[in-house]
Amino acid sequence: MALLSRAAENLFWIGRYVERAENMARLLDAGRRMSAIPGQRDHQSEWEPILSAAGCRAQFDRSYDTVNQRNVVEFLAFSRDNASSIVSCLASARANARSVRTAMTFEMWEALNSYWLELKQLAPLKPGDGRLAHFLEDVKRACALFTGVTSSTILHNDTYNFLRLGQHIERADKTARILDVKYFALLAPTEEVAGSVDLYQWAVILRATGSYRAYHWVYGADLEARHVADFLILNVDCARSLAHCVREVNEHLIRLGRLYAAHHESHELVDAMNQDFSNADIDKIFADGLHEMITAFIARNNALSDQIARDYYFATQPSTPQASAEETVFTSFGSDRQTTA
Amino acid sequence: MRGKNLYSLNNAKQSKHDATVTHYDEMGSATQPREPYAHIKQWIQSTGLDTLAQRSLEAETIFRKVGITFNVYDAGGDPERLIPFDLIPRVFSKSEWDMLSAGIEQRSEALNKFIWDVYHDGSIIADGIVPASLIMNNPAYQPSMKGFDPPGGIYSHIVGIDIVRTGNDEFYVLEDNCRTPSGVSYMLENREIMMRMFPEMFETMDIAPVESYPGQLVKTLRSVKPAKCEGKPTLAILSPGAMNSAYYEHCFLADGMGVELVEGPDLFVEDGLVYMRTTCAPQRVDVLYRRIDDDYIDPEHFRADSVLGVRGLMNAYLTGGVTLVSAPGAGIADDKAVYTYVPEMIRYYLDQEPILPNVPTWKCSEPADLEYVLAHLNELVVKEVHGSGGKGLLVGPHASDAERQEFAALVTANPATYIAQPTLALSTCPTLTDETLSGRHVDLRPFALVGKDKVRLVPGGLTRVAMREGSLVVNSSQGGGVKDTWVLEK
Repeated sequence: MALLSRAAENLFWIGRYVERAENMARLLDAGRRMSAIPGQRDHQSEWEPILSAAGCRAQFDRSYDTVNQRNVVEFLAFSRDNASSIVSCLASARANARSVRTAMTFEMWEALNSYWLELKQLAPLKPGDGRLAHFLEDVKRACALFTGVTSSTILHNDTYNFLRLGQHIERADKTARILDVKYFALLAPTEEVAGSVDLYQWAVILRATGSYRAYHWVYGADLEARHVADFLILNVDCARSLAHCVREVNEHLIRLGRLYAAHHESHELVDAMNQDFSNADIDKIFADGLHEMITAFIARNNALSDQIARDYYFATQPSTPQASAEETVFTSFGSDRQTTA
Repeated sequence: MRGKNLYSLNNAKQSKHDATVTHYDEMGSATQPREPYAHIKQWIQSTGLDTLAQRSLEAETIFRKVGITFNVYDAGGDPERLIPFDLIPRVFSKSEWDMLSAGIEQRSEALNKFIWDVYHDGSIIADGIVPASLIMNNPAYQPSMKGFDPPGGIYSHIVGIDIVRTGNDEFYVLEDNCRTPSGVSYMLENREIMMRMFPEMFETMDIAPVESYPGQLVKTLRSVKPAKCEGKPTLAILSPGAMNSAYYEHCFLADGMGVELVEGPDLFVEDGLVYMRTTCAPQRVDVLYRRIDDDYIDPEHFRADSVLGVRGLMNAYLTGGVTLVSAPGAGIADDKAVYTYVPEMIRYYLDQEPILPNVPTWKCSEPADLEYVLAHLNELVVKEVHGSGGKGLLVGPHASDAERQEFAALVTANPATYIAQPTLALSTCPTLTDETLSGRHVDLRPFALVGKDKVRLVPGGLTRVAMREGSLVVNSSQGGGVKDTWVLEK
């Protein structure tokens, strides 16, 4: 039996919102680490790239005068005016979950709801009170718990497929945006010994995508631009790479295709993206322009998300196509959706 | 839950000793508990109030985690409220329940026969038992239902009958709810939580189970499948959405019944049949348990501004493409003025004496009653027939002479719109309050399921309790709480 389209849409967006909250926590954690270097503490420049990667710089500037830890944390973690803040994402995820409770297991609901109840009780963080790291850990843990109980309790049918589609489309979008913010660093002239600031920026990229250790496992101790890019774009073993996310989206769309015995345009789109990744190599990407490649990917990924919405009759039909890929990269944090509650 | 304000005004002014002296307590005296409560009394004593207070907090945490809340959006504060849950169960003996259930079934049947009659020959009107004006001028009357035969002849499939107690053998029906009575999820969750927290009670006492309710509801709904449905009918629950105060209940029932929970935009009508929008082909729906009001179910037929409903739904219903539960226009039977005629209906349609009496009611439309009411204003509650929310209400014993005179003038000017009832001394049940145990007023809402084949009734129902001392308001939106309701099997 098929799923109600509204339920499928809600599940898709629960997947996206939870993933977005987790990515936001990782980004803030990267910023926290950078600003913890002696001499850099609360230095404006350390929080600039975090804001840019979060994609809400313009909105931030409308509400705040200064880019510092206090303001950035408030805006990216707690602001209800910012639809992509951690609190807003978790609120949206819970509201969506509430309206599809019949499609979720009790454990999934409990994972979202318990953390939400905790969050409502949380005393405001203050700079220097040492609670930021804890808070970010808690967010990541709550998201991981949701993802985990989803795998282990839900029926692995279309319900599961739509959740995972949302999650991986969102993840690909975030990895691409983080890479794009730092592409100039990645393209810095290869020196025998890279400058310590560059090294640090690469490390931040890896941390912000939660793949710092994994990188070292695969490529050894050295941080190199091409390796970082290769890892986060083409390496399908890396759970946050673009290629991996596209492969997952492909896999879940294929399963839906089999289940409903229906082949859609989104199947064609994702298949083409998948093919492109298997034929790509990092040297060619660097030669053709990393920024151009990333910009094109973000646009394709958005188009794929929109096509899924059309193919499975989501109520919120997206406008097509995205205004301009260039614009979306720097003005918004991926597509948003009006929630019902 | 639908509001009831019949006795709400005398709460604050009712003095403490007046409450303890005149009210019937269901557990009985301190030294001699009534038989059904003997074990409860022992249990309270051996557990101790401190422990019970502790367990009470645990219960609250569980309710919040599970998300058993009802929504209040207009009062500020947390929109997702918990209904206070009281750990001390309310108990009925087998013989008490046998009497109550027979009365509930009888009443549900008569109410359905009445609605049928109203939308067909109107013989009860022709025979002069119920005045025509009461029906035709009633906002709940749906002219489009005239002459239509709903599947099984049933209009109100889930009847919630609110019952109060005033003495050992004294029960009264306070109100009938024939549209979409809510609260059944609390009945089921209350039982679930009691079984989880106090399993030993269920081992030592023979408590009739209630968990079959969703299954019984499924059977009831299947029994009224529409004419155009040939195979096994597909059921769905139509909800106004997550903002609705009873949304938790809608989810809970859909889960328990294994059916889809749909909202208006999920459905569409094509060629007189109703379909759900799904991720592949549209899927037919045969029986729709709708939890939205008549006015909103179909913008084509009723309120054009409704975004909750489904265009063409009413037409699909009237041509046998879908069954609506309850039927549009079923509310004609649960009006306050119609209520006064229910005992007559039972005699008229079933040729039986009512098992459960109404609260004695004087209809001011009748000259003898009017005379009595005007002479006894100081002891009666006088109510406007279509009024609700405490408006158009006089609580005689607590009113001033001036207020009574003013009301007397109103009633004399327009007697047909007023009824009067005595101020009832509602029973109390022991309830945990600030770490002590005190009597609090209760009522009971059982849920009768009326199918084509038979009436199904899960033993017990929802006990609502007024948590404030002396209060008679059991309404959840006004701080009323709930208790688990136990029917003993022997």
